[in-house]
Amino acid sequence: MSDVPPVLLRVVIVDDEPLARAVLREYLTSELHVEVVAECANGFEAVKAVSELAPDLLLLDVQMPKLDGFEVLDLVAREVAVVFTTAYTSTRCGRSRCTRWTIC
Amino acid sequence: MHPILARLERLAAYLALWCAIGVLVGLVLTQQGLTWPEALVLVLPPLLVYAFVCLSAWYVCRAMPLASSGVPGVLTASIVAASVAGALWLALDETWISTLESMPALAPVTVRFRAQTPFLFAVSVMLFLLVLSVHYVVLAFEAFRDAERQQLELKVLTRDAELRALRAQVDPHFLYNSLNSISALTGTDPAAARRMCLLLADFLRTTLRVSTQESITLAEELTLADRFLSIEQVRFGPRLQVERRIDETASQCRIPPLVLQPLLENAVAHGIAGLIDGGTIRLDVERRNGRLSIAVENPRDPDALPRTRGSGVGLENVRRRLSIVFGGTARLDAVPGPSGFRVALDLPCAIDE
Repeated sequence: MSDVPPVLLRVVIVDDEPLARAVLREYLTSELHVEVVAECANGFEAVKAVSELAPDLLLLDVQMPKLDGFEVLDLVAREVAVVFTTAYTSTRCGRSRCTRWTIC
Repeated sequence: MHPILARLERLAAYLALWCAIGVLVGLVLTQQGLTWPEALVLVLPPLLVYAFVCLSAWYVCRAMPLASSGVPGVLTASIVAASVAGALWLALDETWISTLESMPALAPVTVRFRAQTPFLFAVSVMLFLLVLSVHYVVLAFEAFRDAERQQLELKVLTRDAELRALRAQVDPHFLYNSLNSISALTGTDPAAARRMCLLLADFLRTTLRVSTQESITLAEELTLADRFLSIEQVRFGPRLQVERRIDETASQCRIPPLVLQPLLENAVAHGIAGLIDGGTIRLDVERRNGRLSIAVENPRDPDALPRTRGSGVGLENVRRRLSIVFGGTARLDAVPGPSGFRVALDLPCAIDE
């Protein structure tokens, strides 16, 4: 057990495109202290995964069908660090939503 | 050069007309006591020379165009030119009668010839004015025809320019998404990444080629559509299904390039992309009674906000292009349903033999 870092970062990947999820997972496999605990293809799965698995970090896409990234954050009650992984540009990011999450 | 002098047959016709005028003038002279031969001898030779003098009216018209010179200017120029022509006629007439006088046989009649000088002077001035007005009328007619032609050319140019401006372009989002997909594939499935690169290259090459053409066959457009959908299927995986019902007899119909492409882009971006489980895009092509109908149908999220990213612009662009190319004989109908969206094109099917 000595070669495993003491702190394990538990990550959930959320993206509606399988290829985007695959590339994130690929990047993360080389990180020994990171564990991908779930991959979600839509917002509903993401909300469920966050409440059930209590990850440390959410890699979250913004533009997704039905429930977008912002709405996911509205729905999760738990504290979770978020990194937006998105093609969504600041010009199309609604001002109120972006300032609320202090991103973009 | 004067247009009448430029062509021999025109000159011949012109001189024949003047012969006829000479005969008419001769007819008047016979009423005044001259015999037919006398009248013709007196009038015809100087009149045919005078015909060339009258051609100078062309240059008067050119120098004093009706449109820019104003009525007083044109009238003054006409009167001056007619006076000069009349003076030339007097000189011609006098030279001719003197020549006749020098022939002993004809000398006696020349006295009666000279009596006609005032009448012939008046006739020559009026003939010059007549020729001048005919020139003006012809020039005005030509100017009108030129203006008409220019207007037509302008119309064609405007239409071409508009078509160029409306020419469908590859959606930059599509390019961007495809590059992201390729980048993702390079790590996990290099062979698929290469396939995708080739598909994309092929798609772009074909798009560039057909977009400069006035029309392409439906078969070409469908090939392009297949490439596009294959690329999008890499990105969406099983979420994007396509169902085609293609009438093979329609494949040679000629259509403006890239009219189907924007419809498919819309169907993916505003239909499939908004659905968690994706769905099926239906493409129907049918040829019937010389008409071609193309329909694209896609499911969409009923709860989604009205379309956001400029799909209306894409459809309006296609609609406008169809109306420029086909006038009123082509139509685009967009039918938003509760759970789907259907766009139908109906256009004439022209086939190159």
